[in-house]
Amino acid sequence: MTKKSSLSCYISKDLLFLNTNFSSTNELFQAVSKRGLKYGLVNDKFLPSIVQREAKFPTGLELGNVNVAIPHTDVDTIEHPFIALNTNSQGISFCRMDDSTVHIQARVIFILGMKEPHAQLELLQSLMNAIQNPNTLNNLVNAQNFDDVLKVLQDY
Amino acid sequence: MKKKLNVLVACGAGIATSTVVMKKVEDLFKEHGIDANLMQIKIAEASSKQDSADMLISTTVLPTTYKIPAIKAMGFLTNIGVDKLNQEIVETAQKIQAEAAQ
Repeated sequence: MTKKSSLSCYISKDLLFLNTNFSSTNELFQAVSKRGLKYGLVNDKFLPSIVQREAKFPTGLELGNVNVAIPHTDVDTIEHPFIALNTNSQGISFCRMDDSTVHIQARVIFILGMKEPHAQLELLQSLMNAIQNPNTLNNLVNAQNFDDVLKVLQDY
Repeated sequence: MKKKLNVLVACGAGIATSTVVMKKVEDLFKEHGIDANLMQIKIAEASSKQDSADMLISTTVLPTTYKIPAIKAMGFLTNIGVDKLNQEIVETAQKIQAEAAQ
């Protein structure tokens, strides 16, 4: 039996954006916000808040082959916790978390909807473990549907 | 007795990445016998809180310069250069303790 994965429990089927052609973070955030509003996961502060936060404190992580970004914003913009996943073949331009003058192309993007500050350590550690594994990232890029994603992330 | 350090752990929102870094730093200090209070903050709060702290560890770009040593700790998220990062944090902490003992 596989252990109950906290990470795959949080990945929202309603907020899955696989193999997209978004050309910018703004397009991605708009799509997440629209869907999030529809399902009651975010409120209308979410979009302006995440756009602003990403501009000020970017979240791109340069990992080598497949780069990742983990955008997130204030807890009061979230109605129900979630992790939205976006994959894309072209990459979306993000600035690097520790150096905003460096742009990277992120192909796997986890948008973290956290409702409580300082919580969910285990979940976040699982997420970091997942992004540190190049095979996992490649498998996510190749995932075609929700079941594929769950299969890739079931061990985290 | 060695000084108990006050350490600020910051990220952009004070929600996600600093939570991971808190745990890493906690374990690292424990391993090296460094006594410290860790406080999780948003990086925007670092300027006003630096007077009561000894060092700052952040996953974000540093929006300004600080009077206290500031270390960028993105390596805890990517696992790239993590040995060097551990070393930098421990050495900085020990240096502060040594200076306080003088």
